[in-house]
Amino acid sequence: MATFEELYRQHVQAVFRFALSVAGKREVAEDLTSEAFLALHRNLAGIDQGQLPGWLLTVVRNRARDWWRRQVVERRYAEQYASSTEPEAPPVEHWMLDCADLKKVHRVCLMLRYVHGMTRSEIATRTGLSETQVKGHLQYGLSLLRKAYRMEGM
Amino acid sequence: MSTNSYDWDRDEQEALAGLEDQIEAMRTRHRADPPFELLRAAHGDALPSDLQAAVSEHISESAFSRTLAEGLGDDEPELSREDEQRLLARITRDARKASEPARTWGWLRPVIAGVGIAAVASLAWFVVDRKPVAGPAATPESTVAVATPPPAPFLLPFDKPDVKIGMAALTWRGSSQGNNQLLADLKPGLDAYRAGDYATAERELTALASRYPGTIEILFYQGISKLFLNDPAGAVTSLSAAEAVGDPSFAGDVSFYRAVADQRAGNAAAARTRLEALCAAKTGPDSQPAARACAALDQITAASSPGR
Repeated sequence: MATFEELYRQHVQAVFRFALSVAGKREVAEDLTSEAFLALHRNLAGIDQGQLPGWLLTVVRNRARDWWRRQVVERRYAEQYASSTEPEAPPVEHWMLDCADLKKVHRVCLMLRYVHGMTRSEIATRTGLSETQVKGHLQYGLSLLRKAYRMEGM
Repeated sequence: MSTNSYDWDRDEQEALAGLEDQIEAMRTRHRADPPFELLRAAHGDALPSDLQAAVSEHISESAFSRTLAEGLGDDEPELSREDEQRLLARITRDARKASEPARTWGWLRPVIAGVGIAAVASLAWFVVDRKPVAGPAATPESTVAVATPPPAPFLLPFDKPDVKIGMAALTWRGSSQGNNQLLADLKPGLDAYRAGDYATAERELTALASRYPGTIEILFYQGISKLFLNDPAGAVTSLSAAEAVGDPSFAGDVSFYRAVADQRAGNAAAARTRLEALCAAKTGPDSQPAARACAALDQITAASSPGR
């Protein structure tokens, strides 16, 4: 039987990454992570440790649902989405989605910057990356784009 | 989405020269997409069911949104060693705090039992030793008058409402840089509130009130903090101002806690009137405060019934 601290060390990164991905805000992700491990602390004696980290992720997921439920903005987004219509995708969008030299992180940064119109700082806040990292990923993506544009004449 | 759509630097302008129309077309295509946070939350199946269904359906139909929903892959950020340690300290502290009431009562149990035994023993001593015995009749001065204290006034219990941020604050734009300064300024006060440090929360929120007049989050959580600080008159003032803002997403909660504050401030009639109005609206969209109002009315009725 592992101690609480051993279990924390073993699973905290996975739990935090998941929490950040579903909440999109670092401070909320920390709250969710903290609540999940508090629940573990309370139930340590009764838990089958073989079910970790799944048990912790379920706590995070349930708390995240509660959190989203409290965000009054959610339904408006759903309504906006319901009324959307999409024209044909331009070549540069196909390039962003299909270019084999782009990693996921490059794609996400490019999409958020040039399609969702976010600043580097906003991208950093929403992804949990540093602004320097965001800048680097964007520079790399743009250099590939410039090359593709010259070669393929998008 | 940022309102600052074309804040490209020179490198970006050079790289994207000739692609402006395509970028604009992409923006038009994805203008109504769910935002990044919702896409990611839906990917983790962490949204309330109706929203989860709507966003998941969108993700299944849009390769662009699917890519965003899948996130950063191997580049997802991790907690630093220091943050990991800080979070562990916080969890340990919270766990200790959560177990404190039980420990306190556990420690008090023998004390309470001891006090009980002493009380019974005193009563027995009083009954046995003060039994009228042959001798001079008891004078009025020697009789012990045992007055039953009047019952303490019933006070409506209340839970701490979770922090929620309304649409106006989420989309607040007071600077040209696209940063939401209001949310940044609210953070210290709301963090203190979340942590149960109501004195700090009240102080921080009060400091913001003149800079952001009519901001519902400031007035509402200021009022709740005052309730926890046992300042019901102050809470009435804050919640009254919150009510005047007229934000429908807070209206039910504002009204319920205003009733609690009224009652604690000694204005039971106003509290009852308010709760009755709120309870009568329980079929409306704001049903949770309404249900709480109905339950509160039941509690008031039970507390005022004979034999309490």
